[in-house]
Amino acid sequence: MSSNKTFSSLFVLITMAGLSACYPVGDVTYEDVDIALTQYDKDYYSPGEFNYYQDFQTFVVPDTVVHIIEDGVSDEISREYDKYVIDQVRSNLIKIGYIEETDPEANPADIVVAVSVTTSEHIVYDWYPYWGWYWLLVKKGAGTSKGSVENNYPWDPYYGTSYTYTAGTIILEMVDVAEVDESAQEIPVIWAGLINGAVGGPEDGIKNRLSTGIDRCFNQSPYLFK
Amino acid sequence: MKPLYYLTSLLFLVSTVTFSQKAYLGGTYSIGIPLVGINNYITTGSYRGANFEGLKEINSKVAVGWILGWNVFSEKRVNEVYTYDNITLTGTQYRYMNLFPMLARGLYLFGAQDGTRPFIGAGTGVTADIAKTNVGLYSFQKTGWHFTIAPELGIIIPIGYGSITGSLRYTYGVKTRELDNISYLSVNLGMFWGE
Repeated sequence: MSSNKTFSSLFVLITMAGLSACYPVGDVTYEDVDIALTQYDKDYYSPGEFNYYQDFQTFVVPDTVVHIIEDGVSDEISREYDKYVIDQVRSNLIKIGYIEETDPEANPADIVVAVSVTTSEHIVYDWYPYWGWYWLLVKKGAGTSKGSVENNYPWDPYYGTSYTYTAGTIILEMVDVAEVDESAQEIPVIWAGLINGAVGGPEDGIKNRLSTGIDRCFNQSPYLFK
Repeated sequence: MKPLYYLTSLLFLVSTVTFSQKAYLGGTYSIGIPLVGINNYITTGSYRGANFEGLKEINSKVAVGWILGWNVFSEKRVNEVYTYDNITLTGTQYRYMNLFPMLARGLYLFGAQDGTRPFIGAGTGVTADIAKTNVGLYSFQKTGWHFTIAPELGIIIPIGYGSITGSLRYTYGVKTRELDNISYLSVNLGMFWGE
């Protein structure tokens, strides 16, 4: 091998080393894409000023999870975990100091925490720049001017990937029962929690992810704690 | 795209003053260490980076040239809590910062012309910055062009047909409308060939 070729090869190796060093996009687990998001009502809580959530004592969690689906579409969302989710919400509310009202018809609770769930399909088209550049270099070779690389440009979908996933969202909505306006059909949601992630994975993992997400919603809302 | 006009002007200026003497073309593998501006977003060092560069000696002590680089900083932050106004979000974040410095540079070379050449120098130009945060199933991205200065010190050692080179470069990019200032230290190792 001539000195020129040796240098060219080393140059390619150096470039490869630089471009292919680890890039943490792989090994993403279901847990890695779970999020918990909460939002409070500024009329009920202002840090350092007031906290009207502390005025509430009793709660009720409806025993049905509402499945939010489009009109005319059949409900294909599993109800396998509905009871588990409801129990997790109840236990969290009890843990942070609220009292469950067992006879809400006779004694309306201060707050209702309703649970609903929705899913959506997503298709993702992706490509990884490293491979595109890698093949460009290998096929063309450094220091040469000819070579068929048309099928190996990084934006060629041949080297891209696509995948489909179902995103699921559990929605927790806290309602101030005293402020419900039945005539205007207005239900004031004073706190909301969302647990969002990709649907799937082993059953034990799903339960663990659900409880972790629900726990996070409450744990990151310390203003709710008694 | 004012930064691009600026860079083009600089490269044109470089090309007009390069005449005779040795010319090099080469590449370096680049390791990045995040400093102020980057390290409040990503704290871990980067092993993913490369530079393509050209140099031309305009006399026995001075060389001018260019660098096109790429440094990727990335970090996974597990269960990061983010609060904005009355919203709190907890989730694992994947943070990426792709930096593409495009610099014109000048070097002062020590030593004899055909021997080992330690050097000091500086580059100036722009750095394209793509900062992306993936959290959950969502992705947020900001882009910007930083006006950049990059002092450096290094060495060029001739070996047969070409040379091996190593340098330590401090890159500073000013704040843009969307992104904070950036700064990082890079260790660059590679080779030049040419004459």
